[in-house]
Amino acid sequence: MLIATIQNLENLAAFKKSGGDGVLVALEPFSIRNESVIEKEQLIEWKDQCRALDLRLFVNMMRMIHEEDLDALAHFLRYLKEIDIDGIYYADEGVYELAREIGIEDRLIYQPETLVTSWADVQFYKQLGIQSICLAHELSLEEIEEIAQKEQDIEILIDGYFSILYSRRHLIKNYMHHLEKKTDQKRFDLIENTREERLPVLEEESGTFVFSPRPIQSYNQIQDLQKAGVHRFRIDSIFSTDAETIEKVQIYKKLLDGERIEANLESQIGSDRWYHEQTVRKKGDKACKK
Amino acid sequence: MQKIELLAPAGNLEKAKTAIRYGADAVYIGGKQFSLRSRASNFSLADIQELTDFAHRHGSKVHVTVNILPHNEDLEGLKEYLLALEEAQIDAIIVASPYLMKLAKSLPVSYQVHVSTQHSSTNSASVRFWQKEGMDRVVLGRECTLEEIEAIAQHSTLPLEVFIHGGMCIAYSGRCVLSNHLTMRDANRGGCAQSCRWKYHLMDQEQEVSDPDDLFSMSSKDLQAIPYVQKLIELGIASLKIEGRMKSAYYLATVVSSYRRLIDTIYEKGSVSAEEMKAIEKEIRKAENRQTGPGFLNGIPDDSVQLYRDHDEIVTQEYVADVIGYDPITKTAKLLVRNYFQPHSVLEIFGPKIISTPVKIEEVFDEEETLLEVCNKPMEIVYTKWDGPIEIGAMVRKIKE
Repeated sequence: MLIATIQNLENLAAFKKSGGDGVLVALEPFSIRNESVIEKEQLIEWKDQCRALDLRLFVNMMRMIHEEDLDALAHFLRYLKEIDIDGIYYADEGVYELAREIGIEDRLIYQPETLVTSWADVQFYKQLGIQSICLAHELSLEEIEEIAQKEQDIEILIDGYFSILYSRRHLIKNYMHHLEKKTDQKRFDLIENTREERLPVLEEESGTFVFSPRPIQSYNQIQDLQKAGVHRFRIDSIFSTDAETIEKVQIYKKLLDGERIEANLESQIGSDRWYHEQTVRKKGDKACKK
Repeated sequence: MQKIELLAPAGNLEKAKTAIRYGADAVYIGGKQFSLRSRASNFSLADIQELTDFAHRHGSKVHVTVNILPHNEDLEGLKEYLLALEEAQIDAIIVASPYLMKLAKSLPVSYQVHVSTQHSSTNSASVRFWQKEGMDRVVLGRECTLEEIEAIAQHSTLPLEVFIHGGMCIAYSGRCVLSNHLTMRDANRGGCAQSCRWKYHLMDQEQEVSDPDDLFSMSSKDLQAIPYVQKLIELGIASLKIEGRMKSAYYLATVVSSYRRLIDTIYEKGSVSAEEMKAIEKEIRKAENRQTGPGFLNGIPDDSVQLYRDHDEIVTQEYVADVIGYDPITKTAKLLVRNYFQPHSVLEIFGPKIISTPVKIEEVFDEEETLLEVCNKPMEIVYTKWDGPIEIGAMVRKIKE
């Protein structure tokens, strides 16, 4: 299954044609990284269109939940049950707890970005009765393959920028205030003072997000992942257009169907370095490259 | 109702014992394996056993952090380690990986399992989740405001632990791998390089938005929750936690004894006067090496709770000696020198039973009874007449202007 965000309803048919299986939409207030959001009233229309095209519709609800959000959260989950949503991405145990009370835990997909790093933790989440578990993006190909061989219901981010820091603080607004400057802009880049690479940073009402310096890209790994038993693949389309997303889906679909791609894919801005790197536990340990 | 627990960090056996002597009801430590803060000098199983013996004799408890997020390769040996901790008679483990929590619960161990702040539990539905999973306590995320903590406490029956002092993560704990990406050091396996505290250029495409002389940073002031402790006690919070397994024994002694005094005063008198609160805040500042603020307790932090400049880090050099002996007949104190100080000066003593008190000293002699002009050799033993309160294990500091 190939899942991606599509921003415009009109592009759903093209997305389907390119080989997409599931659409992930953000709608406030429980979504994060809301580069493009839809209104709650539109959700039913999206659901109808998806049904007509035989696409599955998923909702981004990955915001960290605070006590004052709980009533609205329960209400929102009941609405999602009512419209028979296909899946809900979440990162906070509170979402699970309320979904279980409503009886829709089987729609949930756990996507905490960083927290799931072993087959043993995948097993824990699986026995909760949820649909799928997203692995941390920093795992090596070898680690993912080992997990996939033991556990079926995992999902892998194969393409796009991914969040490496989620803060409740408004870090940009605070800094601008400190400088006595004003900005309405939400999206900037960070460059560490002694380094070159740029880290995209996005601030919204729920907090601040820092992203990987480059988008992950898996043209060379998707077939191995498929062989190892991974069936769910996600493309994060943040900072890109529907046309770009659809083009990528097309390529990944071909690869999943066993086709060889002749075009040179190496010139893209994406990187697959994370598949080959192993992080270390402390200063002085040697990072290994495979 | 059970008295609230004051929970202190400790990087080694000496620090743990100091924290307990200065009033910690419990200490938390890391073992050599499976713990974050890999640079803190972590405890062997023999050290842990020695500490639990010491702690239990003093009516204190020992919590062990087993809070890494394990990768496949880290899973081996976990079961044996959890059983060994039971042998060492620890009181609780602090855990981030749910697999590990459930593993501990499946073993014949009598210690509690606490859900680490690495999980960022910030609402009562999460707390309920962990309660149904059989856990004994949840450490709340540091992102909760006091108002939110109050509401969570009202809606929860599981014991809650709240951070009251020390370093803050800029992100939801556990949800940050900035260190992994900038240094290859795994933040969730003990390698965090605190890359958030570094300086960054903030760019709007090719245009620099940041001030090159005052760059962007994601560094937070440390937490200091003295004004909020009474409320936390009233809310029925189980444990108040101090951060800092990397901090010195002097820092611990100062911070732990200050909160001890605050908590005991609140229990004895029902409240604490503004004057007393001020005195305790002043005392705690003597050990701080970073500016402090209310964290999230007073609401989502604005720029006044952030650090942008290098000189925001304060160097503390006040701590000068440990009291290692006292002769009541000659009224002579035996001191172990830690930092430079001068004879014929006014110093300040504080100890497990002594509130900070100024004491004027005169001549100081070394072990050969030679009169010293300055005391500047760390770990040298010196003697001086002591006209003031004293106890073995007390610490001596300079008085700052």
